[in-house]
Amino acid sequence: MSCYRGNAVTGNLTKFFESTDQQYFFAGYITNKILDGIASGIEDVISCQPLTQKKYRKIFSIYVEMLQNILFYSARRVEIEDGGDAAYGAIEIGLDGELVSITAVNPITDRQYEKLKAIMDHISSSTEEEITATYKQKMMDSFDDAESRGGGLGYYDIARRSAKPIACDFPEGDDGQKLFRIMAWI
Amino acid sequence: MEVLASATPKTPEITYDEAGKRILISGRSYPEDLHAFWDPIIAKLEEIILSSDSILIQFDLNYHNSGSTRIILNLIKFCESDQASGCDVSIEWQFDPDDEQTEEQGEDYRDICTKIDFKMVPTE
Repeated sequence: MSCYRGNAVTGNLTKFFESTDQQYFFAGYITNKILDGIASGIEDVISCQPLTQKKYRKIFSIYVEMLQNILFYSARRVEIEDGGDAAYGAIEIGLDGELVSITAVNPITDRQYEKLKAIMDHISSSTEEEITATYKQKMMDSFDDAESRGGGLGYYDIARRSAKPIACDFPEGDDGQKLFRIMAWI
Repeated sequence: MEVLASATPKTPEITYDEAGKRILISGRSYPEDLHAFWDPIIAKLEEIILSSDSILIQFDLNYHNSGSTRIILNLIKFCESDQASGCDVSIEWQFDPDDEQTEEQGEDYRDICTKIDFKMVPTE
C-alpha cells in the first residue's frame, strides 16, 4: 500500500534514526505493561509538544483502541508468568505533515481475516456520515452481546475520529501468516 | 460517601453518596478485563437504583474505550427500563470544553436517551 512510509527497523537501523517524524515505534510481544508504558509516553511527551498537544486526547484514544485490539486478537501469542499471555504486534506513531499517523499491525487467523475484511470493506465504502450512523447503530446492536469486547465498534470509532479515511491492508508475513495493518490520522 | 471503586490509571473512581442521592463515575475507563472490572460494579449500581426513589448519575470521564461505551450504554438502558421505573434517574455528562472527543461521546449517549433526563455539563 503506497500510503505507508514503511517500517524502517528491518534493514537499515541508521536510516531508522534519521527520521525525525517518528514519535513512537514498538514491535514485539505486547503486554498490558507495555501498553501502559507507551501510554505514559504519549501523555508526557505528545501532550506537550506544540505539533501534537491539541490532538493528544484523540491520539491517546486511537492508540489504546489499536493496542488493545492487538492484545485481545493477535494470532501470535505466548504465555507469560502471571498466567496471562503476550500478543505479538507493532505500533507506530509518527508525524505526517500537519497530521499525526498511528499505525498498528498484528498477525490474524483466516477466520479473523474474513470478519475484519468485511468491516474494513464496509468502512472504506462509507461516507463520514454513514460511518457515524453505523457507529451509533453498533452501539445499540452490541447491547445484548455480553461476550464481545466491542463487536467492531472500535474500528468504526477509529474511522470516524480519523482526519482522513483510514487505510488498511492484509499483507502476508514471511511465514505465510496473514497480517492486519490499520492506519489512522489525527 | 461509599467508594465502590478506587481510581487506577485504567479504571475510574466510582462513589455513591446515599444522602445526596448521587453516583459519581470519574477518571478513565479502559480496563484490562472489561467484565471483571465492570460486572460487579454494574450489579451494585443497579441494586442502588432499584432501592432508590431518585438518583443522579454524574459521569466525569476524560477517556473511555469502545468496550466501556457498551457498559455505559447498558447502564443507561437499564435506567430507562421498566424494571427501574420506580427510580427517577437523571444523568449529567461532564466534559472539558476543550475536549471535543468526550463532548461528542456524551452527545452520542444523550441522543440515545428517550426516557431519562440527560444533561451535558461543561466544566470550568
